[in-house]
Amino acid sequence: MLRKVVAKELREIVRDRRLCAAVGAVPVLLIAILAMNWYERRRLVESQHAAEHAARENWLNQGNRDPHGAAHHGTFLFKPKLPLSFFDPGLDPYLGTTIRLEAHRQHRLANRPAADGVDPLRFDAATAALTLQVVLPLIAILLGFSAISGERERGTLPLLLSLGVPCGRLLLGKAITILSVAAFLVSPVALFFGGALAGTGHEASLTDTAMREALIVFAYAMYLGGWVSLTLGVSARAGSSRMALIVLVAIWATSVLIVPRLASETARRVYPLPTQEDIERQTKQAMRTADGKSRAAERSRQLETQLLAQYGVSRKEDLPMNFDGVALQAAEELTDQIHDEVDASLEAILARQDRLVEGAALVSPFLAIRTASMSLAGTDRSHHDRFSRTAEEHRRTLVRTMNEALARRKRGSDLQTPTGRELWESVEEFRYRAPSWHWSARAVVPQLALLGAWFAVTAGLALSAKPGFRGAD
Amino acid sequence: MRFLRVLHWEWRLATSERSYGMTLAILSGLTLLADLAGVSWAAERRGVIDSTRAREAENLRFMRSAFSDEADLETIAGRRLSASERTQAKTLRVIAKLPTSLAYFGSNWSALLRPSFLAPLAIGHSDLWPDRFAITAWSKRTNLEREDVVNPFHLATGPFDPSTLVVAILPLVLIVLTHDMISADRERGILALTLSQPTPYSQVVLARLVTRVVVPSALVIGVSALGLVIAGGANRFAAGPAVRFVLWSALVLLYGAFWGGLALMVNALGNSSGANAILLVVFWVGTVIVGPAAVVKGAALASPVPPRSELITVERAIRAEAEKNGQELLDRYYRDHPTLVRPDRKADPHGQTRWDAIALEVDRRMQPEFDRFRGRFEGQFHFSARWQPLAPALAVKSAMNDLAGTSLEHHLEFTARAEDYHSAFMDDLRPMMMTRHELSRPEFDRLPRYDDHGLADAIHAATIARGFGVLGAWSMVFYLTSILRLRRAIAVS
Repeated sequence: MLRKVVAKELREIVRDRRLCAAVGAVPVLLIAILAMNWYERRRLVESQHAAEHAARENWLNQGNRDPHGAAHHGTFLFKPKLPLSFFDPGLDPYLGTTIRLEAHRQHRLANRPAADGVDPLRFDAATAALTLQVVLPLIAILLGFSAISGERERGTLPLLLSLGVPCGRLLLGKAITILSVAAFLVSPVALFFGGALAGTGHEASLTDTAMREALIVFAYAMYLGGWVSLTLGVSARAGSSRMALIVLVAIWATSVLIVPRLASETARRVYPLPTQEDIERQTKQAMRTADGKSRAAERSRQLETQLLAQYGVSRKEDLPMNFDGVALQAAEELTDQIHDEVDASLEAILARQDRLVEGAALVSPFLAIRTASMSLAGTDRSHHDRFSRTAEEHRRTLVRTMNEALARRKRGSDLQTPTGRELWESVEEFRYRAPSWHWSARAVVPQLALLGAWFAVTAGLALSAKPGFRGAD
Repeated sequence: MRFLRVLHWEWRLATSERSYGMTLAILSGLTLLADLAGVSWAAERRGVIDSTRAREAENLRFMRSAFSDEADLETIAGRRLSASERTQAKTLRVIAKLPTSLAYFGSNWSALLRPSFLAPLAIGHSDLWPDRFAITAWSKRTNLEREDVVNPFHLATGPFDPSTLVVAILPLVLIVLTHDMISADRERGILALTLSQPTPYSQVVLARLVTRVVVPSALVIGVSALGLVIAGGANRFAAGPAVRFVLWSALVLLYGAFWGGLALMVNALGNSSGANAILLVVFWVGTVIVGPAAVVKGAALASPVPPRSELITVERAIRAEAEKNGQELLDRYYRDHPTLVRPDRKADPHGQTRWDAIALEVDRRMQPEFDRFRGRFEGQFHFSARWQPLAPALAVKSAMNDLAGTSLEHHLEFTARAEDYHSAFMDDLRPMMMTRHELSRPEFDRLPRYDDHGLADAIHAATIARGFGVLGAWSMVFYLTSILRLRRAIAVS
């Protein structure tokens, strides 16, 4: 029976040439988008590898300068593109990609790729993930809004029910049909996912990419299943196909277009972020004591007194180490501490904003899938922050190594410590390994639960409908 | 006269439908929310720019005081100062006469882009591109790399402002109201009756377009105007902003007419209301989502902007080379500027002039790289403009951003001016940096100040004309096709 329902539904879809043309454009579009993003990712990966290599060479070949000069010369790090970013670039275009490492200053990642584009609308439809999140529900709506109401309007519903087709079976058959068509439409993604597995490089392991892909497929299945169930539920309950379509498009527009923008705008208003100038002022203020004196200078004085007493000498020059290196490291630790405090306060605001937006996912499954998808693809803010923190750790190691080298460099005995290339090589090359899939999966448990709930509620809505009663009126 | 009667009748018919009133109420509510978002964003940006200007003015007063006997910092500031502000003010007074410290210190000379009066209507690119650059002696790339801390999710979601609402949500509302403007008559079985009346059916259709297209569009314009008037300040009745608002309103009406024409054409095909709705939703996806994305992606492929990592790598390589030849660069500088007196070791104990010569060389050799980046970017821009006729939503949004002063063109121009200002600033200061002489008050006063000449209020006629042209041409095609279709026998059942 179920097979017959599915076959009949598929036949009807195939007969509607206009619908077929509209829907058939989706896989073509998807292939084009995936291919372009695949190519773009590869181009970026190559260019970043070249930039990383050049930055390392630049560091190693900086000549024989003094260690503090080298710490100022610093280096650059480049955020890697993870294997699944071709599918869902997520927030990557809106986050910095490069970070400068130098003494005294903790830079933030800069250069958002989105600023190098000309898109005034920012629907980001040129990504496969957004196409699935935005367009696929619409396809499901177009395929299914008249699934039950249409039968009723044509008078075929009582006929079908009188043949002994159980209502639930009828709905299930129609759902399977729409899902099969949707699966056909998104099949190009599987091809590219396979390619991503084959091409996994040092950024992530094969298992990691495979698990991420599996979770992405699961999340999208829940999301799409929810839309199909909702469509059938509304179609079964609506007075007419027209009303069903209007209600469904209104729900879709609210979920996809209105709620995300309103939630994000509200979050920005309720939890405002400080400007760059505010942060700089806050940092400068934190560097001074209540009476306006430099905390770094005070710390240096304290350290000097302490070391002079410890070594029983009366002049810095008589200390067994170069005091400048020790003082610079102490100042560095002070700026690190202040930076951590400022960063923590910023992070708290951003986290509150994110929580508010994630809360809106209760009424917008689009927000739930968007968050889950980008997190599993490794292109969300938490992945970015993790890279940023690792880069900062590397900066601290680099600066500490230079300050310690300077501290060992006592005037007149330069040969006691490595210099030049030998010293630069003692700072290990930066290697970043993206977090494992467990880490991402744990972060998206609420979103996956929401998507599961979305599917369960909409399936309940569809299954609890009694389409026959209205038709019998 | 007869048309007014028909219009009155259609209006009564429309308002008797509960869904019509509800749809208009929802549209008004959403416009109000979009308005609030736009107004608050523009006010926030204005606040940041004004406070930066105020701080800069105060800093300048502190620095000027270094050339006079005026010493009481709080009198100079005209307010109470905290301990750290006092320390900062003292530092400013010390560096005021030292060109090198002055040039590297920052936060004294900025290039600022103040939002225009119409900015609340379209946030445009203003959330992605900087509206202020601190101009210092650091490299041009460093100066132009400014980015505010923003939640990336907010950037990715895109702004919610009246123009976005017009481009994306108004068409959906119009689809709901117009997808059955003829087919409903047929489905209710009253089309034959209507056609048999002496009133030409074209007038009925026109009246429907007025009630279902013009009224919602006008509602959006009205609510948006209200927001502007409330937030407008002294500018609200100025002629320039008024003209730009009229143009923005005309774009809204024309965009409404575009969707009305499309709905009419689809209705004229003689399909059912359901089929019309499907077709219009597919058109919406094509026009608002797929079309613009295709053009933008096409532009990125046709003229790809190299990754910023390339710019950084090139700059680092140039700097490394310049550092190696630092002494030679320094010698050459003084050879090329024979009137400048080279400072002795006492005047330049740390060899700062060598670093300044290196910085000059880096900026000089980086200029072609900047030009290459800019060229690629402009290539994208021209590609997008060339293909906008195929993406009307892109054309109309670009025109609306331009009228609001938040377009890409505005930001590109602002960046170019900031770059020029950096050059002018350094050209003025560098000779003094290289001679290590102290600045006099007239020299300090002669340092260039940034003037944006009301950049945000300027409009780009070609972008606006393109918006009107694309919408006008498509609308004409839709209405002419509809008229031709409707002149033929209409299927009444």
